Amino acid sequence: MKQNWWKFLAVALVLYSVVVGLLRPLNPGILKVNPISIEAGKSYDMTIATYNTDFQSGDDIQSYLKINDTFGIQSQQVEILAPNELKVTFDIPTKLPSILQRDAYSIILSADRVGTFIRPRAVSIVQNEIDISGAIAAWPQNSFGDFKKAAKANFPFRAILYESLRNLFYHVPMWFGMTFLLMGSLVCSVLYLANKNTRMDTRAAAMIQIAVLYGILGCATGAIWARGTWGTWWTFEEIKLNVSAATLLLYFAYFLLRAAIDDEVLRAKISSVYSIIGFVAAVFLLFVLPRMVESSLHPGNGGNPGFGGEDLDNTLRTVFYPAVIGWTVLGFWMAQLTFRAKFLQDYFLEKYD
Amino acid sequence: MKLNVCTLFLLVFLSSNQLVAADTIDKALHSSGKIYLVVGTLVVIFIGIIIYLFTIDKKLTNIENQIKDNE
Repeated sequence: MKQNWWKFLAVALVLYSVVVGLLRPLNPGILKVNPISIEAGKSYDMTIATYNTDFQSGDDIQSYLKINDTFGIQSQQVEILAPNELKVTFDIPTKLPSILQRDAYSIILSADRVGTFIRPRAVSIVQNEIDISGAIAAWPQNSFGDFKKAAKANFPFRAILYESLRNLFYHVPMWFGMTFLLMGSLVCSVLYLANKNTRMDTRAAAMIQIAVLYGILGCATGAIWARGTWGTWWTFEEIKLNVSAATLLLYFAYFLLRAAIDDEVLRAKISSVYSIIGFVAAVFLLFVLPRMVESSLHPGNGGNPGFGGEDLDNTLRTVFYPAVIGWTVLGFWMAQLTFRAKFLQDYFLEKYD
Repeated sequence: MKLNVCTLFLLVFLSSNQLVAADTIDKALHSSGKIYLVVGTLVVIFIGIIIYLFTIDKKLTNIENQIKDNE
């Protein structure tokens, strides 16, 4: 029981990441604005469809059309059509403080209980003449009121992703788990070459087996996520997809190599060397190549080292890190069961020989 | 037999875009805030763990048979 604490830890963390990762709601957000293209100098009734809001009559709701950090206009009136639908009226001035004839502007909603949320580049406005100094003189500055705060911060609302943001807790830990298992196999391979104990080679092979399983699951879950957000199961234009496929092929070859060698000692030696070289190649493929690509749809790429800033906020971290630890430890447990079964098999083979 | 099932599965997978109109999938995905992507992901991971269980089951059966044959 005492030696098994880490297995319970793995189960508890995975359970926590599934339960909390699924149950905690998303922050409110703006799904749709209608109309999305308007002209300066006119008045518009806009309907705004929101997500995870529960507007009730009597709620104090403010809505702003944000031009930039200094300039914005507040709507004339806000009418609640449904718990997740508003009608707001904006009087757009003739001159806009923008150097572009057509520019996209954000909409901010600030409501009791629900809090404040924004849809960037929600509407595009056309102005007939560009007169910045006139516009600046005509516009009130810093017109934003005090934004209301939500009672509780939840997972961020992201356009396109919506609820599938939760896949962060299930898709990404597969790759983290795979990386840690490959590190474990590297250690075992080095130890084999140092001590020539074939059990170490068996351990390395078991860890690579689970790492490959995690890699396949990472590809499959990523394909599902990509279908729902990028619109395709798989694309060869994404560097991260290509390098993960290459890494998997690299380790498929490891098992082919093992299967091809009958002599146990020779197999252990060659596959240990292959595993060490393979790990270096995998690190290069998974962590160096993606960073050399300028732009990518996949987060954690294009000069962006891993997850930072926008990709991962504090509420996500509280579930993401436990999920990574949980799936990694679970992977080591699975690898341990695999090599223990192999040890037993070897023991009986020797005994009955 | 096993191979046939695999081939069928592969064919269905490869042609799934044609079999189910892409429209239908997209509508189903958007109508619910895309929570089905998370359901699909969890199902895939569950299937992966089940596949692992079967492989370890097979290994243990081999060991059991080995012991039985030698007793």
